[in-house]
Amino acid sequence: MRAPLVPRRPLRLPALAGGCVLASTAALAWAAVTAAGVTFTDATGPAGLSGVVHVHGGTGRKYYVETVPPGVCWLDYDRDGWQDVYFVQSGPLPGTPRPPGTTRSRLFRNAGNGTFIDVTDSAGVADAAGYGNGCTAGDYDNDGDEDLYVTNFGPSILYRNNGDGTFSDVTEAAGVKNGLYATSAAWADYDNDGRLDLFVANYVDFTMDDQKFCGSVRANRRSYCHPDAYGGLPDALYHNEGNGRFKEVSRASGIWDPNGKGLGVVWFDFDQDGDQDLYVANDATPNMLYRNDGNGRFTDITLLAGVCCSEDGKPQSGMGVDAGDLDGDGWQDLFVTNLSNETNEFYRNLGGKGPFSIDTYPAGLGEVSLLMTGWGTDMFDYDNDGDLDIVVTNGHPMDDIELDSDIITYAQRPFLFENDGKGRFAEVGTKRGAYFAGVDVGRGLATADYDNDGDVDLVVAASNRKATLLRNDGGNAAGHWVTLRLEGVRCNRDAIGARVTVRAKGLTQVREVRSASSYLSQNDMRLHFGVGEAARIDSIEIRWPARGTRIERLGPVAADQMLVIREGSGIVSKTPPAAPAR
Amino acid sequence: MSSVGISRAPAAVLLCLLAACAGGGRDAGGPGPPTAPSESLDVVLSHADSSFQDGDYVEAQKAYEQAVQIDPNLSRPTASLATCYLKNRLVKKAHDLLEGFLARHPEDAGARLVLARVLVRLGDLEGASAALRKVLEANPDLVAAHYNLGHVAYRSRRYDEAETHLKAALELRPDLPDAHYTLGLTYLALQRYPEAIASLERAVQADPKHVGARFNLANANARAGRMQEAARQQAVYAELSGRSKSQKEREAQIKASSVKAIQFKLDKKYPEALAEYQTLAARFPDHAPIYNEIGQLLIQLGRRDEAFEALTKAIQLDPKLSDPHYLLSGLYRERGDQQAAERELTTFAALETIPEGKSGY
Repeated sequence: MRAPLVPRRPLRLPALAGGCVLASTAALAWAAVTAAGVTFTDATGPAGLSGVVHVHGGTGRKYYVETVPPGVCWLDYDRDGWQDVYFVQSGPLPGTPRPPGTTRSRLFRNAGNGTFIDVTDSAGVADAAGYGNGCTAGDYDNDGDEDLYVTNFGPSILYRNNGDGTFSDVTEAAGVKNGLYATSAAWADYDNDGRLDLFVANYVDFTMDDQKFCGSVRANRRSYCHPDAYGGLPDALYHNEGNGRFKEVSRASGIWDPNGKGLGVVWFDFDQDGDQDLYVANDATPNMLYRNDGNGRFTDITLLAGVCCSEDGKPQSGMGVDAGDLDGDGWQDLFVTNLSNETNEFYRNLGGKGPFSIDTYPAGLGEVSLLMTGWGTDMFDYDNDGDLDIVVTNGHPMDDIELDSDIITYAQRPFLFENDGKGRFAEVGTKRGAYFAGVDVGRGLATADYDNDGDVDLVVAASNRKATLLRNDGGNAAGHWVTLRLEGVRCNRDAIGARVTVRAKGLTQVREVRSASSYLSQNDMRLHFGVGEAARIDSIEIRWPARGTRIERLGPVAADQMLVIREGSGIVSKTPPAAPAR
Repeated sequence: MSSVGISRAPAAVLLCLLAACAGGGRDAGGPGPPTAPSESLDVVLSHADSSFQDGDYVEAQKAYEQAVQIDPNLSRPTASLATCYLKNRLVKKAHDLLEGFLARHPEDAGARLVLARVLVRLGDLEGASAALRKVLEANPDLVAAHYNLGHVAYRSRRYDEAETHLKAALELRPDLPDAHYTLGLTYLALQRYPEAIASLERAVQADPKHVGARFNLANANARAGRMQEAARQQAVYAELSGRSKSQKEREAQIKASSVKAIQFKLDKKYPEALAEYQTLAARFPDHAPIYNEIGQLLIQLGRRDEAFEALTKAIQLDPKLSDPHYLLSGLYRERGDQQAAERELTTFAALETIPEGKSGY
């Protein structure tokens, strides 16, 4: 949090019980509005999303798959400038009859007025036969619209966006069925050939016929198994051949880890050499960092980089992961969520000066997470003060954990960590709205400015519970901002992998365009920069993801608007913020 | 942490370190006379101690509960009972027990040291520090208190205090690997790399199998630009943590061959999956888990006798593999051999060495 700001426009205050409005706008105009004025309001019902309920399909036999999903993805599938949202559904369990009208994954179109409309049927993206886990969106065919990959326990699905509001299942033709226990997936152009490739994390070798007994033999009580009960699986990397087909290159590329139990994934450029490196959060096996060698191959540098494990060198239960510059030094750091009795981990990128530094405790992120199991996580600037804050969904995998522990609960309070600008954090969730003060069984998590009002909102996908849409109220008054949508021409159309440096009033921020991260989920691909007191952006520098260095410099431009920047053409569109949806 | 680490220290080690100050702690000398004959208390304590040593914390908990019911002022049994509660994940219960005991016996160092452990588990590092400082007021030469306070101070980013207490612990016990290790971590945090390397090297001299020290020694050397030594330490770390190159290569070969079988299983193509595993068994005839998979598929296909044979082979190759015991238990039950079924189930339960007897979480 930086210095308090005078708000640029009066704050709206909620009506009091008696219907009167507190104080005059004149009085408010001089109130200090900072992060303290930001509230995340549960907008699920008003947005028309209250019917989104995840079903894991559990029957009491505690099948392992029940604990993992669901994910959620933001995508602008109809390219109208408003973020739509896809919720992954799971149940019923594989092999269980699925009566018509029962659960399936759902796509909601953003109506642009704070509400969403279910377009699943017309779009044809229900994934009705699969036991869904996660999703990732990306324009793999460079035709200007977002395609959608849905990961399942068993065969996954690639939906090609037809550009007319409908999708086609092109899985078989594209050759990306995977067929294993897929969890997170993410698009990136790892060889900078202008086409998006696809990474799919695979989890464990559990099958429905391989249900082991876990729990208390003495009490004859079945519980969900620990991942140690099953073997890992190799992840898959699919190279986009450019003809609608992909070629699996997992082994040839060097990312083949036979024992990894992949749950989270993020593509990022940790060494700033212009290509996308890959980090995989594994459950109960070491996490992996693959350095992109720039020749189509990767090198496992996990140990060298010191990002495999806890500080004590022990593998943890990696769930979700995000990358971003948490300490403002221009280098991409990592944040990984883990199980209770472990801490989440903050791996600080020292910028080529040796391995990452495990700075979890020094950053204030250690002890607070000891009793929690973290899953979805995103770095985002919720209060527009120019640094990345962290949000984490929590919830234990075992629904009967309270029989085994008197301090760890199944439903858990989510976290919102506020950055002091130097990579030190304070947990402020309870002050930022009722959702953060309550408990949930959080899994997937994704950020987006869904109401285009200049601050970043959240959606949470919970296990076997209703989803929650959290509208950021006040973030746009706490600081100035700019949102950038990049459009590749020679590079991939989504510009995934682009590195953007924004300078405003002495503050320099670096972000990368990416597809999925967090846990089974994907954020709004637009880059949102909070710039605090700066009403003007001094410069925007873009390094486009392409072979050879391609840097474009723009600016100055006014803050508080959404810009579309086309590769080689500069700013092609400017849109002011929308009126806040209420 | 190993040895005397506050978070995961084996209670026996912790209590052993306490012996000097707690005097074995049969009686803290407070109010409340014993309500049962001393023989029976001895018997209960003996059973409790042996259960504790065997790692049966559920049984030990019951026995210690009985002991402190007989005499609520017993120091060592109270500390041991609290440790059992911790092991059995009853952290609040441990907290309440120790708070109650310490209200009556505020000078009991043993109980307060365990309380510090409890507070760490609860994420209350400030409370843990306060408890340890209080222990040190009365027992300035208590190694465990210095070490643990140093550890908690390190976690709390109070690096000066960490250095002071870790050095104090090492003056009293120069061969304590965890104290060298945590001191190394402290210097790493302070970016004092030569001192970090020296401390971590002392840790691995005292305990060559110290995984954390090897891991951080590699990091410290890399940060100091000593890449050759970093690589050497990484190799040792990889070996110690089961990630050696040869192990990985063999596992990779087996997994590569079994991926297709797993895909068949997910598609419920059991004969095809079985054929894949049988091919795999021919290539890796000494790999027990493959026979477990074969046995499981044969059960699925109704070929019970062949399944029995495959599962028996699996446990011959690796008697510690738990799953075949569970599956064999079912097969024995089908055959009407209840005794063998129970035996296999008991073996399965014993082999499920998941932490603290639960499902591993």
